Amino acid sequence: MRMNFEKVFEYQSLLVNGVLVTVGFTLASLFFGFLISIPLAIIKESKLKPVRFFGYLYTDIFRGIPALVQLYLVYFALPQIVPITLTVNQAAILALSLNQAAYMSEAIRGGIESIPVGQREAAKALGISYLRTMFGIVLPQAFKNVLPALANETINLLKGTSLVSIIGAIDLMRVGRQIMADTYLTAEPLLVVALIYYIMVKLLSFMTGRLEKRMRVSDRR
Amino acid sequence: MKRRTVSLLMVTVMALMGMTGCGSGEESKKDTKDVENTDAGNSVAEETAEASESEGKPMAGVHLEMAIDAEYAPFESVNSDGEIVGFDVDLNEALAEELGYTYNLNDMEFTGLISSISSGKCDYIISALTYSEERDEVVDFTDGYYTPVMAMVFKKDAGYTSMSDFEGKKVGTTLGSVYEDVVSQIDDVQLLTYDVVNEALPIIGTQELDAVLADTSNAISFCEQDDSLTYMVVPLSFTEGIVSDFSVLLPEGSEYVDDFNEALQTLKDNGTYEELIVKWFGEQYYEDLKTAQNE
Repeated sequence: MRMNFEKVFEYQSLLVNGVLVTVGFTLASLFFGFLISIPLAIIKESKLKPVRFFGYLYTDIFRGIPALVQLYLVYFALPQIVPITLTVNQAAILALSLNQAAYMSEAIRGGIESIPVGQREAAKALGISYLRTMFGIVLPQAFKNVLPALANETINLLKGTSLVSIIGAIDLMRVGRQIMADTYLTAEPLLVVALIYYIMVKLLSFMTGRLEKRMRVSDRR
Repeated sequence: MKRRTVSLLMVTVMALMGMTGCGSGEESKKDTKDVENTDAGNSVAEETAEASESEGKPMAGVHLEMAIDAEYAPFESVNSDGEIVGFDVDLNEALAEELGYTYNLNDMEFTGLISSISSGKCDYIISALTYSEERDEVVDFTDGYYTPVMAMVFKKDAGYTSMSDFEGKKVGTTLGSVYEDVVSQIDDVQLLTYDVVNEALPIIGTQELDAVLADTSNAISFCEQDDSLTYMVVPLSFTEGIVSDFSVLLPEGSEYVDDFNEALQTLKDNGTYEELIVKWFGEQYYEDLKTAQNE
């Protein structure tokens, strides 16, 4: 077995760019996914049946179709259906965010349900509006409960961003493939890329671990 | 306050990522006389200088977005400085000089190339693409600029000598390419496809794969990389009617087809073309072409 890692490291600056793009996709999709997931979770708790139905339909669709297919749909099929053209990056972030929102809303819904209904009833008795009850009382407690689940989703998202290389976004995975193409090496660039992903996930889980610890401070007796 | 900072940061990230032009702009380069020189202040000055210089050329003042899949060395690949380099890139540069247009390179996936011009995201493709009837329905082709000489890559000890030796074997090649059609010409062949054919190199000679069909220029590099491999040039007679020369692809009904054809002829006449062939493929190309023609 011959290994030639030196050649791969000549592409250092490309790899760094790839990491930045991957982190950028993760942050952007996490941000927008989270933004969509909160109203989605609240919708799922609604008393109105059609509204609730829409919430579940959304989740059902986005969890029922593979993320790779969604990515293809957004980038290749969408411009044919509606007269907009998305850049690779826009399409990637749109698809990842919509997908991420479905998973995160399920976690957050679980969190909302973990808060005793009695609290909501008490708030209602005190004349606090529904939205204030949700955002001021239920969600803050719910978040603490769902943090481990959300951290898990974020790790999945980070790894899932590697899919965007398929539509041509120049993320870490695609950089790996470009190095393969330019050097005719196969195992070496792939191993390096795998290691970088692993380190990124390790860092992420370390950070979320710290965050969870801090959130638990108030639980100590 | 803290939360606001975080969201601001995220919006900035989004804005930066969103603001790229056609395709994904990260790898794209503004056209300047020499691609290496991308210094911002310089390129503005150069562009104006170029504008006056290119006056009178058929496509002076035209700006085009070019689509390319930079995963196919030596035609196009990204080097360790992050620049897109290769035969197609140099040819495009020569064409741009001849015709006077400016361009922007958009690196994208192979499967997205054709749809990028049929959907209007880009204006032309130079990315080692050959003519096919299906493609002709959605795009226009210029005259050929490169006659692909294909080769079968296999383990030295397999000892294949003619195309009929591959009957009933497992042969891999690039997904969505005319190479697929060539492999299908072999009787009882089991066709395997890969996004990038390099992926398949380590498994040649295993139960999974007997040989790989690739461009001869790739085959040479593969064999240099792994000395247990060897290649055999595929006779042109075998690929006749399936494989045609590589062309520049333009949108259906494009007004620039004739301009490109004339410029390609000029480059062939003035020797620029041969220079580029030898630069990227070596003299070996002409030898392999001769082998392919004679068999």
